[in-house]
Amino acid sequence: MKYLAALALLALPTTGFAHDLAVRDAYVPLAAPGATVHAAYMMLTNPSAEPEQIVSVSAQGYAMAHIHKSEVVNDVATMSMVEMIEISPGQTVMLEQGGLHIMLMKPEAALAEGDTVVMTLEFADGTTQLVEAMVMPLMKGMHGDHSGHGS
Amino acid sequence: MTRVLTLILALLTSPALAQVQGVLLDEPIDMPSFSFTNETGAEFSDTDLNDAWTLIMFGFLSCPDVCPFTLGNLEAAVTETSMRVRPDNVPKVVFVSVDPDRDAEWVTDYAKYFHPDFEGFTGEREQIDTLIEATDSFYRLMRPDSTGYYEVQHSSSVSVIAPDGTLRAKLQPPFDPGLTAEFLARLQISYRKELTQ
Repeated sequence: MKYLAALALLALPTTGFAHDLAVRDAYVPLAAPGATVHAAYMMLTNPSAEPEQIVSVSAQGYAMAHIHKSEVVNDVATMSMVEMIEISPGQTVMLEQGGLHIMLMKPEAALAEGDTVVMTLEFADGTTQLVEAMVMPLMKGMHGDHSGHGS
Repeated sequence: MTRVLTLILALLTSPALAQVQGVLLDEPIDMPSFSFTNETGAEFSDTDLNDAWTLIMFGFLSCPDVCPFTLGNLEAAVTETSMRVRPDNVPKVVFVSVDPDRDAEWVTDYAKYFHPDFEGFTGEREQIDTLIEATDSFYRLMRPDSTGYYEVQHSSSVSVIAPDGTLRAKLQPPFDPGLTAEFLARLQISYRKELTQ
């Protein structure tokens, strides 16, 4: 019986049972000198039968992280905080340039290509999921060369 | 201050992919005198607009999303343009920070990160406002949050200044490099035609 319980535990995702979003192409673009805020982008898919609600994000190596949305309205670029990202069953939400993104504030150290930024997504019920994002050059990430299928 | 802008579409092979990469002004607009500086002691003033094409982008360094990608796209667009125009017609790119309190120490390093030839400047609020108004642009510093952090809203378009020092056009997102280069090359052709008429 103990053996079975141990097996069951092994089968659980290490990042949490209730929430296991499929995360693809998570990346943080290398930032220019003087940039005190960075951005993280990724593709989030909800494979479960229940809606998922991400209510906050934190990131190792940063003082704060917020869910943010950029918009250009009448030629004015604005950013605003987003209270929650809700992902319906089967739905994919893109965090991408010019739209939803995770704003990473006050980095403790400069980024280098190949670094990993570890973020924690917190859901409405208080559970969490870890996400690892690769640090890569700005335009490389934008053009989707980070899928791992390239060189 | 509203001006009537004429939309022109970049030359496209497929109408389905039609995107407006820029707007051409009906009439050229003279630039007032202005002066900016940066942490290296360099200066950028209205006289620097003469005899070269200049792209002026407004932004701020604490901008994680829009500003870096605009500069990244401008770098690609200028590289594309350099393959279509004479070397002395390749536009200079000037990043002007509207957030001097936070950015004054870094603005050059920031701009040059995107291309070694890019220049970054900022300056007195009055000078910023002068250039913002002259280019029919906009910015607003938002209210600080509890940590003191504040957002900055700013025009997303990029001002195109001709070698006679007048504002001729605005580049618009998404700054597709190929289409933006096409827009700039066509603008230069019509500018030269105008000069010879």
